[in-house]
Amino acid sequence: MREVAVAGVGMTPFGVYPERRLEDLIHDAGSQALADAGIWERRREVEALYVGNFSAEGFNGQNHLAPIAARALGLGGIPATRTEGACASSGIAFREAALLVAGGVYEMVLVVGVEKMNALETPGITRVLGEAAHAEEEAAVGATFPSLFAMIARRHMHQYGTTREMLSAVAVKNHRHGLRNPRAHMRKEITLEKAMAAAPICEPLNLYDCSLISDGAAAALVTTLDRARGLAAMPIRVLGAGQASDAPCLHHKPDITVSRATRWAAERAFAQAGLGPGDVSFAEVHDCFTIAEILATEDLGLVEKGKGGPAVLEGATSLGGRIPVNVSGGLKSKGHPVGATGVAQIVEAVTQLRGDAGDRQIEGARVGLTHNLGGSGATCTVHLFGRA
Amino acid sequence: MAATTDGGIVIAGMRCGGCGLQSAPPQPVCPHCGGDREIGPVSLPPRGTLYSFTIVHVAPAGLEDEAPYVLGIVELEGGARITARVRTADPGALAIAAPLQLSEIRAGVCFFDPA
Ligand SMILES: [Zn+2]
Repeated sequence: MREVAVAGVGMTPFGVYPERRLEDLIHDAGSQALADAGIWERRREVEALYVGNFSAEGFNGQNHLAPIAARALGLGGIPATRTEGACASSGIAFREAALLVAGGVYEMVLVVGVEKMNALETPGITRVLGEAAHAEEEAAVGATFPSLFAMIARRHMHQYGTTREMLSAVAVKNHRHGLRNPRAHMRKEITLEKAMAAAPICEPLNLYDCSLISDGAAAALVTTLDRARGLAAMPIRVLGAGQASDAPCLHHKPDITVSRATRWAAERAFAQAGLGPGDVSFAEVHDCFTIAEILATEDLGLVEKGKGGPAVLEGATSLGGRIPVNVSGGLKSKGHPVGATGVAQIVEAVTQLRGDAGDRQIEGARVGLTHNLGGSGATCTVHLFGRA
Repeated sequence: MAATTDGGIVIAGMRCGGCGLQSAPPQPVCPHCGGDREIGPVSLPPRGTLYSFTIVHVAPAGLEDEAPYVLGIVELEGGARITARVRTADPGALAIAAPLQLSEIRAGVCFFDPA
């Protein structure tokens, strides 16, 4: 297998953009990534395009998105493929690109993740997101995504003593981090008191336990390490790319406080990299809900099982702590245009490893981990990145 | 979730001879071990306990009128779990491990009452 690198990254600021079309978002992020690598004018060297998107059909009435993305970037003619894995849609797209480059199929692949969610009102958005659950066994019963993670949270509280305060501390931390990210959707500090007292969505989860409903796109140019060394930006190596699936319904998991897909995807990524959790300098994890960040840090092996909540309260996962988590602001503050999230996490990892993260820079960052989760945990990708 | 009436409501499920676990709904492959041998239909008992639950305040389109409602994962006697609704006048009194009794299956959705 050939060594693979990210040669360019780009992303739109995340936010609410009723006036921007899907292809405007795609063009913005994709052209930034190509310009970052210095090949916008030579973009016909890109041999394939992968588009991660959850539900343009549900949110925007648009299927068949990949050729639209190719047109938006002046790449018409090359193979253009959309991947869907709920909120892990673009983590999957990135892994496919990395594998195809590693295996020698392509020299250069562009990956774009995109979602435009704010085209519907909240009940419609909730319904479309709910389509990532099982239609008959969960959604028809009345399950929504907040409700599934609420049941995980209640069980985690029951088994490990995780508290309301620990959940809210995740939100407070990520909002504090996001204040330092100019592309974050909600750059606003929140207090623990306010986070704990917010309106209930699905008890025990409240409004501040939920990530944001955002529009946006993110892009990464994937090529061989050799090729990346000749391009404009500092190449960042892809050290490992793991993916796994788990039961699509919570009621078929032996223990809903464990994300097995996270564990399996991480095992595969760490094995490829020849690294372990102790080698990771920082992580961007899938905090679609506060409880999801706690599960992720545990199941990635960054903290002991059951200790994800206390680790947040102790500051271990804050910028400046032992293992900073979601320094970008995470899905909670940076925003969560679901199909864009996986690649946006990779944009942050690359930015940190290049040393370009400004006043949220993690000192001495050497190995970065990104963790992208789909549904209630049925799909997961884990990627590891390092300086070349 | 299909139901048959046999002196009371039961839930259509399956048992896997490979791993010994019960589950619902019936399907050709066991959701626990992936095996497809020794799979047989079983009628799951209409009783169980609450494995976890939530009170849904923000409902999806189509269910807004029913909110707030209780959604739970119910562990039936014998070990199979299903996602179901729980009807109670006092959701604040619900707790993990609370005993439940199936009261109705409507449009494939199981509704439980505290036992
Ligand atoms: Zn089995």
